[in-house]
Amino acid sequence: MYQGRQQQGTWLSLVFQARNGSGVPTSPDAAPTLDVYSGTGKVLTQKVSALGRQVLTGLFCATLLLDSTLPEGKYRATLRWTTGSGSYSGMALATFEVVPGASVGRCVSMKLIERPGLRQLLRQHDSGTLQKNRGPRT
Amino acid sequence: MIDSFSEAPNGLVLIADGLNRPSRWDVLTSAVEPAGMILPTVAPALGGSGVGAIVGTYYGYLRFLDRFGQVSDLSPISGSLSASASTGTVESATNAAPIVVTSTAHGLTTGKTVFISGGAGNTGVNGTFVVTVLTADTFSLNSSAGTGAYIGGATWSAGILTITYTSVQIPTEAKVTRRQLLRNTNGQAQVFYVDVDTTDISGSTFTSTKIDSALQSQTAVPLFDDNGRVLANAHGIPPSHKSVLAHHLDRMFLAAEVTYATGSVSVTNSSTSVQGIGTSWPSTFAGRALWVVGATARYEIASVNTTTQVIALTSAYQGSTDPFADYAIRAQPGERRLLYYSEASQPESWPAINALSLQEDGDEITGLMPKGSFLYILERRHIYRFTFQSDPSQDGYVFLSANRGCVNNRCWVLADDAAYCLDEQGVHAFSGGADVESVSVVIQDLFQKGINWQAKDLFHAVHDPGLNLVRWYVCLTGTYVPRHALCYDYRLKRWWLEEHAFAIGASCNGTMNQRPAILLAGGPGHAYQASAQALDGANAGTLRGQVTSSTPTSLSDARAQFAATGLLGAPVAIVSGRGKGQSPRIITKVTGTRLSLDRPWAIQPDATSMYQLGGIQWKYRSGWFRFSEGDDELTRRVELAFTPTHGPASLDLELYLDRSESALVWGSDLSSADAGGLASVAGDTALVGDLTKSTGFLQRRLDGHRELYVDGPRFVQVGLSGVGHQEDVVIHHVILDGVVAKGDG
Repeated sequence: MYQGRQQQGTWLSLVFQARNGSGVPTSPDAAPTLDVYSGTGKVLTQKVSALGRQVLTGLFCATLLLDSTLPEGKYRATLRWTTGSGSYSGMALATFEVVPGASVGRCVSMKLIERPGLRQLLRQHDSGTLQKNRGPRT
Repeated sequence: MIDSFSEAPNGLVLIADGLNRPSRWDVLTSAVEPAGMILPTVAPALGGSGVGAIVGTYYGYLRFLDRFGQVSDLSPISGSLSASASTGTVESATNAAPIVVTSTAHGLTTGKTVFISGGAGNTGVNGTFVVTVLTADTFSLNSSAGTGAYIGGATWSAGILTITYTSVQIPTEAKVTRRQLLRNTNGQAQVFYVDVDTTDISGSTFTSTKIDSALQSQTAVPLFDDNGRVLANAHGIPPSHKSVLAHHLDRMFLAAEVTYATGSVSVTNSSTSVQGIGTSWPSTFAGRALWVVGATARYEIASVNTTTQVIALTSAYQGSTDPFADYAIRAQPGERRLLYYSEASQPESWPAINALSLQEDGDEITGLMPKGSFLYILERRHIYRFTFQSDPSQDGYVFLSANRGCVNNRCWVLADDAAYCLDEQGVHAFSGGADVESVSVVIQDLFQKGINWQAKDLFHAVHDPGLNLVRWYVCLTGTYVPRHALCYDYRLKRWWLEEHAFAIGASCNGTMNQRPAILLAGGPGHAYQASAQALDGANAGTLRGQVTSSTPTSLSDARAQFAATGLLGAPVAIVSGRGKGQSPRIITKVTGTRLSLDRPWAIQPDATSMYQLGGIQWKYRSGWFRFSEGDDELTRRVELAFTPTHGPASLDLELYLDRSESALVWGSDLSSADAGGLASVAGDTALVGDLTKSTGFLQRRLDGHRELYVDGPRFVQVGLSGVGHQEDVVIHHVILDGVVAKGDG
């Protein structure tokens, strides 16, 4: 499924439901694997955590921070799992495009610190990074 | 998790998030480092050599320092060292000055130092003396005087020349720049002195030749104060599991817990290993508690492998095996109600004993608010007042102050004498006493149904003192990032709602160009100054024009000359023609005369569309007013007075009748000149006013008078909207003729 254009620095959530060979939603044998490919090859691999399993069987959500490891461009993601002790291998596909933004994530907390002749803007991003900018101005 | 920042009077900024060890930043250097110093865990070993004047029983400690002089707690104490090169028995000691000691075949030489202890009768013989050898069996004690007849019991020991410290621990923290070895003086172990102070952080053996008198001239490090409270070991690191920082009365305080539940876990029955999936667990989770949904017990975390994201539990998991269980990690239950604090004037020194336990009330601590001489402890539904004089553990008291609270530490502001706090009931003004004034009654429905409380951790507030205004950035229902601000004018006691084109993740106060300013964190990587300009400084080039072509995610103006820089991240709005009224889109790329956008248009503009770069939509809705009814013929009319703008700008005026959410649709075309400045188009809801009109005055006559018993509209509401840009739109008043008292808010 095409996930649309995503601004760099934001989070992308890929939600999917694992199914068995009969197409019935099911819990896989282990956590599904997400692989993300750019035009030149695999960019990253990670395990995918469950989402809302109290409500829906086999629902998973892969969360990706579109940071510098995923620069501007088009990507294809595969989400793979097995059921029935490996008797069935399932896969879901997703594509998305990263458009320019920033690679630090969304700011969730900030403080302007002022000293004589010096101002520093301290920002925390949801990627977990701290960013300091000296002398912000209008 | 959201960081909490707090600044100490010495300029140090501490940063806490409840997950990792708090950080420190001195603002001047580029390094943000872990706060506090981790203590050495290995005791140094002491040894002696040579013949000299160091004599007695000695112990040693090691401590680390950083480049700012912050010290760690002390290492474990070393084993004792009896510093003596030779020993003997005092067989007799004269009651004279100086005392002459007889000790057969003593082997000493003149000028050596001896330490004598245990002498009875002539107690003047006890102490440390330089000797003058008289014979092979006698020597005198320089500067001594007898105090009586010697009874016996004394022994002497001659000193050593050098004390050697070995097994001196090498620090693992990069911030350690110095190490200090401390030693006591003979006869006491309450005050230690800096014996070795070295910037060598890789060596493990050091030596000293300081005798006691020289040692006493070094920096003294007493272990306890006069009241028995620890001093040398008062430099623990701040706790990592508290997320809210505040500075009050020369101390830093930490409170409030976080729950980490990102991703899921794979748990196996009877195993102590737990695999994280989609997690980012730090090593500081060791000691915290793991709850697994469906399990009947909580488990203590022994350690975390941050690379493999595997937790080791202190006891085997007894629940059912589950490859992707929901879970939560929190501090141990006993930590919930603890308020930690630093030493006075030492924001990086947090002894583990510096903690106050708050009474259990079933609520959750959400913030700390220093106000006047009190520190207020905020909970979701309560506020406690905390006060102390000098030491919270000695004279600190906590009182319940109010039965309202605050959703998080970023949703309170101080304005005048009051604190305005957002809790799940609404907004209240808290003056510090037991009384709280609910100030959001007129918008109470919004708090019941209109706000997504699941995203409350992201809410934040900022005070604009110039406008007497507080903005709470919240997530309305259906949104998961704060794009709307609940705005409250605390002088006029008026509320309104502001919507942003992008999420406002954070806000803070500051000054810009010597004036108070509000800073807002917008899209990725961007920060903006509120109520300034919408273009982040990119004021050159085309800012407004006619669309010549568009795609679902772009807009082109063949005549435009867009600025080369500064437009990325700026909003673009359609101000007239097709596509008008939809939310502004964000510019992600500028290619010649083409603007690429962050998301598709809802209604794609065409050649009838006029765009505005940096366009910020604004809206205003009045309360409901009742039309006057009766026999008198009263004119129904709406009037606006405004400050004319220099650049092209317009506003839309809409009327709503009888509490309808749909605006009144006008039935005829009427030009601006014919309609008093507010033009209408048949089938459209907007009366369009030209804000460049030099008189600054617009009006429109409305539908006629109705008699009381004739059916028809009873209530009316006015809506104004527009797109702001480089100039502020200033509406001085809106007058409705033909209405009586205000219906409601």
